[in-house]
Amino acid sequence: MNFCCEEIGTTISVNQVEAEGYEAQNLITNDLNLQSTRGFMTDSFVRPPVTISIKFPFCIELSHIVIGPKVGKQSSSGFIIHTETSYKSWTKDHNGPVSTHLVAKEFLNTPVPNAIVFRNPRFVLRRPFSSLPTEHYSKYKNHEVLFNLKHPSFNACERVVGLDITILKVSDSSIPAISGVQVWGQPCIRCSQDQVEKLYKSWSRIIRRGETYFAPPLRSAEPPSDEPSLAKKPKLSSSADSGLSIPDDFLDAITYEIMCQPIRLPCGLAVDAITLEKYYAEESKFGRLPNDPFTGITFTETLKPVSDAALKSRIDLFISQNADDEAIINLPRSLGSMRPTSQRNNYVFRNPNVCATSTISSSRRRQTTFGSAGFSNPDLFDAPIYAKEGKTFADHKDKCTVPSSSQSLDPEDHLNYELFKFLASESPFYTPNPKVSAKIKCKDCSLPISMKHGISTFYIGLCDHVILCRNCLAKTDKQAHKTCSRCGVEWRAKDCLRIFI
Amino acid sequence: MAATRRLQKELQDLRTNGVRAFRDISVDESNILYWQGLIVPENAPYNKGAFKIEINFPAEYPFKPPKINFKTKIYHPNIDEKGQVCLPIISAENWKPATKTDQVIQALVALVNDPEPEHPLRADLAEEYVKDRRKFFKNAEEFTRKHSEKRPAD
Repeated sequence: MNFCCEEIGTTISVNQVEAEGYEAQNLITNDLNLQSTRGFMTDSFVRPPVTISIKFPFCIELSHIVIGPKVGKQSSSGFIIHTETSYKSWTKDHNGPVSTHLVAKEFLNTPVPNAIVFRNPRFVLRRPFSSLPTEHYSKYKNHEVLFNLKHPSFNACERVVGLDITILKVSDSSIPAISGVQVWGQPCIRCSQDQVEKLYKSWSRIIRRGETYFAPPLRSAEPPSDEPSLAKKPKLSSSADSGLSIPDDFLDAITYEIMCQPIRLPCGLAVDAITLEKYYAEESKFGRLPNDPFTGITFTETLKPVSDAALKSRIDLFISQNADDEAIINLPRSLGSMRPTSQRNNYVFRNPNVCATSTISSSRRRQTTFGSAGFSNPDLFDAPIYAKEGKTFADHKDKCTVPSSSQSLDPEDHLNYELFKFLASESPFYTPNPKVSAKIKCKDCSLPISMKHGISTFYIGLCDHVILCRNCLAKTDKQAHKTCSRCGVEWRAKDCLRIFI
Repeated sequence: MAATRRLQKELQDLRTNGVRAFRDISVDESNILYWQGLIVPENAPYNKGAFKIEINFPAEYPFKPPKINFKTKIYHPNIDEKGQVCLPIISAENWKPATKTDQVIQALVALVNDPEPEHPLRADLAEEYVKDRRKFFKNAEEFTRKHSEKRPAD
């Protein structure tokens, strides 16, 4: 939420004389007119520095600060931002000890942009405010300048009770001026539940009234997604399945999934490439040419969907930053693997030590080599491919002879497993160091696999004990049923799978 | 499933800023593809009752249109005895994946309120509607009283 508004008890003061009609109060007032037509300006004789102090009625955590540095032709070009933080529980009347931190000092090049954004990279949204769009600043991309708020102390942006914005420099002979200030954030974690509740209500009310607290240049760029966020708000409980709020513009306009490959349509909305393909397929059933799913207008040379690379990179950044979140973890990240990883289970990584299956991305190319290796039976291609990392596998084999040890998980083994899982899920072409496979021996000729061939491939039957090198497998009757001497599982040569390590 | 997120979002939007004429949306937790709700028409002769409908979303939703069925019997030229509705917006050739369920419901409510005898499913009722409006209204009102659900108190 934006804390720069009078209604929640924020106050503002300036250490210099203000120009009449351009009081700093304009920056936090609720009156739409005042704010949209005016901003803050000092009297014409005042030279920088000018310090504007904003005091909040409670501790807040800063997300980002948006400043409009231009009022008409007057513009400020250098800013210092200090935060005041307090460790005591804070009330307006009871001023606890306050410490001040310098968090930003930036100078702008001319021409001065309409809005500059100072962002706190450490900010994490919590409920109930998590339903708000998180990335307001990304919406100002046409005329924004983005800075990070930096301070070695973690608390500098966390228990903020006041904010000093100092105008250090003005461009040309301008007088210090600011068209608008927005301080986005959320109540600090120490705020009482009542306070947060009250605040949340008043903020919801403010949004519902349709008033926006932006000076004109900011307002023009105001994200339209504020409206959907309003609709979302009363529904907090059901959106609580994951605390993560995904910015609306990352979602496919048709399926509301996070997009893999965003395509910008002529109508301005973005959909995923897969969605568009499915739509084309449906439309072609009725003999229609590819058209805009929203307007139905057939695409032409000039009006056609284009890939939105900028959005794609923003989505990817968001995904990587929130990679641990439940909502993100199952997302496919490229068009080639549209199915979530959890569904790609025909390529299973199997490790009985760790009672979990992971997935290994196997490529078509690998299957082709598989076929060219002398197996003409098409059944092979349908069979699941079991992939094993050599060392883990060998370790496991050793353990199999000692059944009790397979119950507890060896830390090193586990690490290997995790590493392999990671590598396997990341790169389909990953091949571990062939050295580790030295421990694997062919069941029939007892020669270590890798030594024998110089290439690291071997064949595995239905259980883990049947390991064959290629020569021995070739000698075996392909259809004959055999039984594993150790565990009694029946296997056939045609069921054997080729493993690359 | 591609449909899940979209349906969750639509359900959420419908429940927050719902349509007056469509109430009591109930969705099975285990199957979000099957919705039930109550159509509460404003116009005579159906304004004395409410009508239960079910919406079946295909797994390919939103690329394929949903299907709407009336569970409550209704005396209406465009809705047949089995409860099937002829609604152009959800016909396969007119369907746009961008169409939202609330638009579909609005179209349905509009159709219930103002029958379209030009494209009837029940030709006899359409004929009666065109030729003898008073008789149609009398029959429809009686039918509504007999078969329809109770209207929810506001």
